[in-house]
Amino acid sequence: MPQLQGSEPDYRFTLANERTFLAWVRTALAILAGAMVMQQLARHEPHWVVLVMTSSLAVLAALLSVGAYRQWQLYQQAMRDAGPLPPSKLVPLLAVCSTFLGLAGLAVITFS
Amino acid sequence: MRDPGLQQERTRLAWARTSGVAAVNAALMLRSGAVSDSGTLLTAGVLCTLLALVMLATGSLRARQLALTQPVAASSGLLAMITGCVVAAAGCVGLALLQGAFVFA
Repeated sequence: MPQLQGSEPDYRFTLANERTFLAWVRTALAILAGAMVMQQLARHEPHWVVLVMTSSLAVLAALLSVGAYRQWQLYQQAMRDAGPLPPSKLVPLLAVCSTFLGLAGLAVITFS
Repeated sequence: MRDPGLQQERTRLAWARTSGVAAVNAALMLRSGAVSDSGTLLTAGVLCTLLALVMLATGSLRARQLALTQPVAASSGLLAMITGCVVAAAGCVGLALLQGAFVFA
């Protein structure tokens, strides 16, 4: 565990950081729920398409939760250092992945 | 700069909402495990339920920590555990995918 430097930030910011982490965790869990429902309801042939979509969603959920923890650590340290918060990498990740998966889903429906 | 406890309440609610979504996921997995003949799916469902309980317990621990006169910040270990729970839940979905199709009854 790296040595914590700097001073303890205002606890309201610490709690806000925690809530942000939890918001990302909820996002990941919601995506995971989508993966479960997709697997339960999808009757699409060829079946590998369903497998690829579902596992992509599961991987995205895992990536978001790990990224959320790292972001929490990063922001907590940035607040200690009284420096600017670095821009979130999770937002572009989610935007790119959900756009891609949405278009892929559309393609699956169109070409089946 | 007095805060009348709104931050604590919002944080408690954030934990409650997170536990709620985890419970819904557990219910989904448990259902698919219950309606299928697969032991693997049932195991995945039970595991997801345990993970949801862990998240619920963590949430109530945090609620108690926040209710103190001097509210305590979340430790990194606690949040790492939550991340671990979500990754494990994703692993459960992967396990079910390997097992085969979910059964829709």
